Amino acid sequence: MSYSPDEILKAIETLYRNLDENFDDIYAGCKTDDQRKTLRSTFVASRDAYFKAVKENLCENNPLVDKITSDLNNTNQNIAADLQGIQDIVEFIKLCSAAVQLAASLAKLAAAA
Amino acid sequence: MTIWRRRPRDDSYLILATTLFLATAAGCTNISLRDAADLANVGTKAARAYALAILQTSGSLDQFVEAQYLTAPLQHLPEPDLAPPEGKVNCSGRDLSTGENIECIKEALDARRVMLIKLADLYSSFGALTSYNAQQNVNEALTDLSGSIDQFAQALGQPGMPAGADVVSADVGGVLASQIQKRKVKRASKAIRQRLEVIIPLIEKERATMESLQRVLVQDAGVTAVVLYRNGIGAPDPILANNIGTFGLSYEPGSYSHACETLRGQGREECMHNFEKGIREVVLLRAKRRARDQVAVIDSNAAAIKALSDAHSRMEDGQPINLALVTQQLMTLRTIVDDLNSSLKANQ
Repeated sequence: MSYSPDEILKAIETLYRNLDENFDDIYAGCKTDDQRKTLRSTFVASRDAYFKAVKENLCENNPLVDKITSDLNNTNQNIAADLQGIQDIVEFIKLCSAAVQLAASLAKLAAAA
Repeated sequence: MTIWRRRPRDDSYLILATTLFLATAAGCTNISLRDAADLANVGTKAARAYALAILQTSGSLDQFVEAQYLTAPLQHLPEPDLAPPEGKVNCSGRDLSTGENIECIKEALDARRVMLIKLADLYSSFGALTSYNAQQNVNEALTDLSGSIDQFAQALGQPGMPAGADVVSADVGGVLASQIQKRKVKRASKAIRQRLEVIIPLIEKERATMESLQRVLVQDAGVTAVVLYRNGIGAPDPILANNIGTFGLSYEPGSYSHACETLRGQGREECMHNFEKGIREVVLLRAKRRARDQVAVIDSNAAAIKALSDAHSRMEDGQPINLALVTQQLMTLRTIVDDLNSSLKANQ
């Protein structure tokens, strides 16, 4: 049976949270120095494993996040440019209108003829 | 004279022809600029809210590291090796210390925060695009044009534009500019939606990790409080006042120190132990409740971003959009954040 990264993280989280929340009680229950030493190293190892797992999960997607951020930046610039682009459209309309009005004037001349 | 009599009909025809020609050139679209503006507004808020939640998580990580240093000696633990490393960490490395891993997590969180701020910026630009007064510019341009036509007509020895023709032309231009603006808004909406379609799966994929991190950080904050309290630091007055004051009894600040005073010997010791255990349970319960709220913040944010994508699709199809879901998520978020803030104030 294979586990998903989320399931693996959940299992590591559960171990760490249980040890974290109950550490003092477990520690108080230890009878020997060896037991206490083992508990201490187990607790620290579970904390280390947890943050390693979180890091792996998040950093795995980092290149994608960087790409999206850069992509958003470009899109933002394109949209900002669109705001300026309206001016060009006006020029285009001007040109078309001038052409049509020229045709209108010519049509008037034709009608007068 | 013949020219004067025939002119009005000819001009009407030409104006209509101009309208049809330019409208065809622009290509009609039936999206609502008002909906687009609403979408831009809600999109900006949703992206900023998520970015803020990530920033808070990053801050909680710093607090977590400090707490480890604070509680390690009290819990007989070795001194943690969690200090931020000097220089840049190679986060693609596998054998990193926990301090380095935490630094990489912070970097990763920051990358997501920046991504969401960029998304918020994008929505702001989108909002500007929906409200840009293109019609005014076109009207001004057409008024300028009329002057040129008059000059041209004069050069040909013909009468200029009839009175009223400028207004009609300007209106024609206004309608056209509005169409162009709508087309641009539609194109921008599509561009944003395409980005959302990449961001949403990423948010969904990482949701479990973000929620886990929240649970751990909040629980650990509770554990830290308990460790400090067990070592004689901090007073449980607010907890006791909250629980005793509801039914008419009043709590005297500091009176917890007289707990179990009436007992002697082992009975007193056991009573003190139980009292301390009760306080500890309440702190951990509150920590769990707060962790649950923080997880709800992540859920609300993810749902809000997801709902935006559907709204974009509907708007682009010319259908009315329903931002109720996003607004509801943002309100839920607001309520949770307010609850968190008030509970923090109550505990101060």
